[in-house]
Amino acid sequence: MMDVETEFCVDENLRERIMLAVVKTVEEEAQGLHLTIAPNAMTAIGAITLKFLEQLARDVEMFAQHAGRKSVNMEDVLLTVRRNPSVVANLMSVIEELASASKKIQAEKLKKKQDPEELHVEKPKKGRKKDTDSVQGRKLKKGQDDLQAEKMLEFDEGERLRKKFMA
Amino acid sequence: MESKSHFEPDVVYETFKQVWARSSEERGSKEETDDAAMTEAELVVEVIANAAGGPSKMPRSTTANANALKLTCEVLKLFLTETVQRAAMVAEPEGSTQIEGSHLERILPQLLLDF
Repeated sequence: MMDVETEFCVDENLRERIMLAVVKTVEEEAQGLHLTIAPNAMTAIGAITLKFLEQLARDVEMFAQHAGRKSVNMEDVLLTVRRNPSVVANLMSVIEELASASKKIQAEKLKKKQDPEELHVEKPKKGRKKDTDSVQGRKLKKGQDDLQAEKMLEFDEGERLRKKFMA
Repeated sequence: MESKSHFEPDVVYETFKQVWARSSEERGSKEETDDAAMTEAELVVEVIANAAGGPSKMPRSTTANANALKLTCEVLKLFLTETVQRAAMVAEPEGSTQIEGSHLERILPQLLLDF
């Protein structure tokens, strides 16, 4: 094998799944341009992509740590492509889509909540009686609120990022 | 243009976790060779972490937010389409209908600088 010196962090199984996605994406693009890809070129592209992704993982971890976080978020990902304004612009529109999608879901959930005829509370696990006053019931309700809060955060984060990167 | 990325967020997440595990191992081994510099508190943390069952449970293991994963899938898709398009721009004047390694070689340096 020619790539003995390029050691990957990722195990075989994962490498195959990544390669599959690479091949599909590349073939689709090439077809759109009415071209084909030589097999060795495809393999090379796969290796490059894997290296790229691994480097991105390391960068993104460091950015999060630098910001004092343990969890990588959208801002960290955006930072990795800061050198390429067209990519940044593209990602901003993806973020907007995500934000508006989550806003829609949020609005729907709010509507359901306010609709008194909808006895559409989530079924408690294992057929226990619905008792919204009990600890269990309160926990369930809290879970739904958390989800909404999360969606709100996603939307806010999208807005903040837009202001930051598109100034 | 609205083709969805073929990359799945959980594939990306798995990759991230494996890379992070590897880098935290490396950091761990670097620290071990420098015991004199470690305070007692740090040594205690390390002992507990090792007892807890290995590198993936170290106190500083990183996670990723769902949106970050989706964005990364998008980044990968853009990277690949950019690669193919640049290679095509080099291949077409030659009249070839197939993208070869030689085309790739020519666009690679600039591509890696731009990303």
